[in-house]
Amino acid sequence: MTYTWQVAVTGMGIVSPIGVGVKEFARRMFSGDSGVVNIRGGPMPQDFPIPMAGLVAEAALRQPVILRDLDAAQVPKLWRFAALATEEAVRSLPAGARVDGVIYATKEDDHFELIQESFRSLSGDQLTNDETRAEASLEIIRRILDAHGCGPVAASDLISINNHCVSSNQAIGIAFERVRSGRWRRAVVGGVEAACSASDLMNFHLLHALSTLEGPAASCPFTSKRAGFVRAEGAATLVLENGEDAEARGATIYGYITGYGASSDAFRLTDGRSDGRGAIRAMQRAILDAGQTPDAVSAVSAHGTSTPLNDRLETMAIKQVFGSRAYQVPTVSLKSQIGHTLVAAGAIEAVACLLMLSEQKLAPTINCSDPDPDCDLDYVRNTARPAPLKTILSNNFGFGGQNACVLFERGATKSASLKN
Amino acid sequence: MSNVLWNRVLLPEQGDSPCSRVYSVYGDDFRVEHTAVFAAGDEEIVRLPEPRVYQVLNRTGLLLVAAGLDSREVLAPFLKEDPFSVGLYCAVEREHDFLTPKRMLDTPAEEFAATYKSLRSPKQFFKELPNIPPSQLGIILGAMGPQYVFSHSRWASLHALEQAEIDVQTEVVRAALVCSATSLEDPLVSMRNRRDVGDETLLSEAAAALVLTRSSEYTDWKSLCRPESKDRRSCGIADPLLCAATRTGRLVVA
Repeated sequence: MTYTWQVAVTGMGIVSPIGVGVKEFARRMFSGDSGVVNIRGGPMPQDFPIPMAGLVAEAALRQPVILRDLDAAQVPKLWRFAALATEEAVRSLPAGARVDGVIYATKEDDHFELIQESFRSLSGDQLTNDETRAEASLEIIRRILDAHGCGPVAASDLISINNHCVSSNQAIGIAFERVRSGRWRRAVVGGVEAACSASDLMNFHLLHALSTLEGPAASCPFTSKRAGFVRAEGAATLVLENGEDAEARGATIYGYITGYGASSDAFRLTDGRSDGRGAIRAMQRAILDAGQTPDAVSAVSAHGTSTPLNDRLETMAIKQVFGSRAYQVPTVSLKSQIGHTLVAAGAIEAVACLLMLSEQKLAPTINCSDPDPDCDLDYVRNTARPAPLKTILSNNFGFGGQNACVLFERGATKSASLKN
Repeated sequence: MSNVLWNRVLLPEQGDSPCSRVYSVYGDDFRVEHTAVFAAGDEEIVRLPEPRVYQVLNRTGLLLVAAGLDSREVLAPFLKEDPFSVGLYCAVEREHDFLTPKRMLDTPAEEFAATYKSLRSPKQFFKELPNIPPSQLGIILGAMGPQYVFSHSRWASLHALEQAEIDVQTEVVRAALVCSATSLEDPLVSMRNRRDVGDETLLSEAAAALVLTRSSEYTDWKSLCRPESKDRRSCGIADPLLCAATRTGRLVVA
């Protein structure tokens, strides 16, 4: 299959535990800051079994312009996060630059509090409001695009994905395919996660998936003390654009998406395959899809959840893909800094990858001082470092056995710099 | 258009008298009128290879697996040659837990964790997640190609069809199993669907699945998904796939 179009990333926006806005996120990411905070005695009671979470600081949030007429306290976090990230991302688009579709990863909430409220008032009306639709965040994104002069986007081109941890990478991947093939000229993609509620945390805790370590080092991928992931919230939005269009309008190009691969383990709901076959295939497919070989990959943005099984299997799978060169391929985990944002993880890590490519610098895997002998790659432990980066492979492997990998490439001379 | 190798539609018999669906969690007077459901109980909907799988599938999930699992013979040659050559493209909504929030209405914050733990089995979480039924279906089939779960309350089935179409045409997979299902178990989803379609339309449980393979032309699924104006039955998120399945021939209704 011959593809015609390059796919450029021309806009980025982010809401994360280490900063709202791309510049602040970049500064704190390269500084190795942690956004993991103690939730006991704050949003959760003192004896809550899960001590830590990666939360977005309320003080860093402003009300999105599109929602300015609503009472901030009444607006679901999910909407605020998605709107803020998107308003930042589409600032790069001129009015009239029509967006063909929106593909966004959104987790449907358990609506625990909403359901409780419906019992208190015994009214079914509360159950039918827009908040309960998976596409609610995408409708807000559509309104942002309309207000910015980049609409209209047809309702049927608002595509919401809910496939757990791989959702955002899948959103990026299928939008990439649509732009690369010329079906779409421009797409808005991303993911949002804002469900660090008591019920949500307990759901993962009952599956023994969450870290119960105390302190900001609770998320410590690839170390011998890792004990589960740290739940986190956030959102990121990217503008994907036909490369020729982007260059013609003199757009800032943060980088290119050049390959995508997805697969399933067909093994167990919570455990990855011991042979890593599904993960290996997804990585290989993304690299092959870009017309590259593993030798062309400069670094890996790992799924790196800090769970005992994932980090060991991912390390093994990376070795299978890269062979003896695996030890020379720096492998970083942003989740060490912010925790695991589940459906939003791929989008947030995409912003991280594009910033690393732009700055020619690897972000550190923090809390990474106590190596596990089974995890023996170059994890860029604790401190950022300069590196010549041409391509970064971003991995996401999910609950349920799904795998999705995206290959990002630096623009030859057009990559944006934060200094611009 | 793509080759539709096989399809399956599961709909309650029209003869099954439309009835009220009572949501007793809200009391016996809380009901949605004019509904149709399968007479079969959960474990009669589909025969699963392992009894413990029933513990992780809600009714929507069972319906989805019931429709999709019948493709096993059609997919077998593809899977035998390469398990990565078959992908799953699904449209499903979350089924919420209403009982636990109700039981915990007066639970103080400091007792939340202990009470929640006492009321819910860990596997209850699986029953609520939309990606678990497709994952379970993929495990049973042994399909290792991509799996997508689309969740737009109206268009998710169309999104699943379009992505399947792209993947078979670009040879990411050789066969695509597209599935959707809806049940009336969740009052949230049922109330919302009732509001969307009006009182005259029958709200119905349903599941549909079809298998696509590559052909020489792209299919305009959007036009194939458009409902007939005479349709007086609504199956929520599964509607577009049901329309597509009934228009693409070789229809098998179970």
